[in-house]
Amino acid sequence: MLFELLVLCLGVFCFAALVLTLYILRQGDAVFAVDLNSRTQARLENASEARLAFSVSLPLTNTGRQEGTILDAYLRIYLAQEQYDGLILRGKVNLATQLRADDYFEANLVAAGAQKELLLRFEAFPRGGRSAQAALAAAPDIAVALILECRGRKALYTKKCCFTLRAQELEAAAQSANLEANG
Amino acid sequence: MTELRRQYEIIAVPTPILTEHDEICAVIEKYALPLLGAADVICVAESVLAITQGRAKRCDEFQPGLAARILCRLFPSKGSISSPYSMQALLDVSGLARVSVAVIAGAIAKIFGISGVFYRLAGDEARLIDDVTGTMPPYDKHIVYGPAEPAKAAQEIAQSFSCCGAAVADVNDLKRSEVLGTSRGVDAAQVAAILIDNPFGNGSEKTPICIIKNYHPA
Repeated sequence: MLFELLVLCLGVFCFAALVLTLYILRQGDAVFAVDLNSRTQARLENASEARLAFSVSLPLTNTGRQEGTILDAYLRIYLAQEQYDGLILRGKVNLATQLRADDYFEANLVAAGAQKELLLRFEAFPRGGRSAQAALAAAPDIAVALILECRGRKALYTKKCCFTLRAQELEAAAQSANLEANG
Repeated sequence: MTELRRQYEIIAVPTPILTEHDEICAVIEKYALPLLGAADVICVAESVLAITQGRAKRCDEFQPGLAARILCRLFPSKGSISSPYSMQALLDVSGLARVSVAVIAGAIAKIFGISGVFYRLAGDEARLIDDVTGTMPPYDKHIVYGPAEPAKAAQEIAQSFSCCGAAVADVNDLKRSEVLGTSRGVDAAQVAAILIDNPFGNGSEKTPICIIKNYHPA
């Protein structure tokens, strides 16, 4: 009798565990995708002799079945002085609908299936006595990593999305700054 | 409720962003004291009091266990305890046994169409924990517990200043107003009704303290 009761309890427990597992599997999680192929070309924001600002946009989509959170987002710019010492490039990222005047990224909820636009804003500072436009026009391809700290139903994870700012688009941004300066 | 709100003048007191390095009485003394009269009640936003008590933690300060990872799945993803981190925050204060019993009782009650049972059984923190994005920057990346001993904190505030009383309130723009603790002589339900229009603000207003002028118990 006691043995049968134990077997019954074990059976109920296993059944409950199975139901819970299936429920969790069916529930899914937030899945964040950054479509690097849809990145816009660098476009000029504003420019002066000492500083040139440009931006690019990237779509971020939660392709999962659960709401998720982008807890933090920031940029790493892999421009080594060994590669090119004519420029210091800095960058920050915000949601296009939530631009900030500081370097802070405000944590954001992204509903299942929702798409948001990330705006990556760069500032170029010339080195070696050149103007910002001249320094950017001569810049090589620059590798950039967008780093997202993501959270869904699982543990926090970091997503790193790498792309290249091509020399041609940087030159085009610099030329549009020149055109703007020349009226 | 709105009628009661109109009977009172409420002054929202701006302050800088408060952190765990601030002490709430010192903040009140610095920013609210010049506006405070003997018949007034000082109200403090619960999340800001909790932050000054050191009750805001980053996700990476929690170590979610298997129970937190499973239990969080049972709540809608919009809820404050739907992540392993916020669920672990609840488990740390309420305990696994209590939360498990509350989950089972809540599920059974739901079958019979009764809602809210989990939140009544799992402890105050189940409804007070604010998950990430629930608080303004720089605490948007933190999980913020409810304040510790809100009635005691209110009593200490009231005793520190020559005013009528103090209250710790949880109010939002969705017309939800709850008073978590008051000093002696202050009616919690009445203060909740007076604060129904959320004079604290939930955005960038930075007014975590407000003063109800010339308070008189109902």
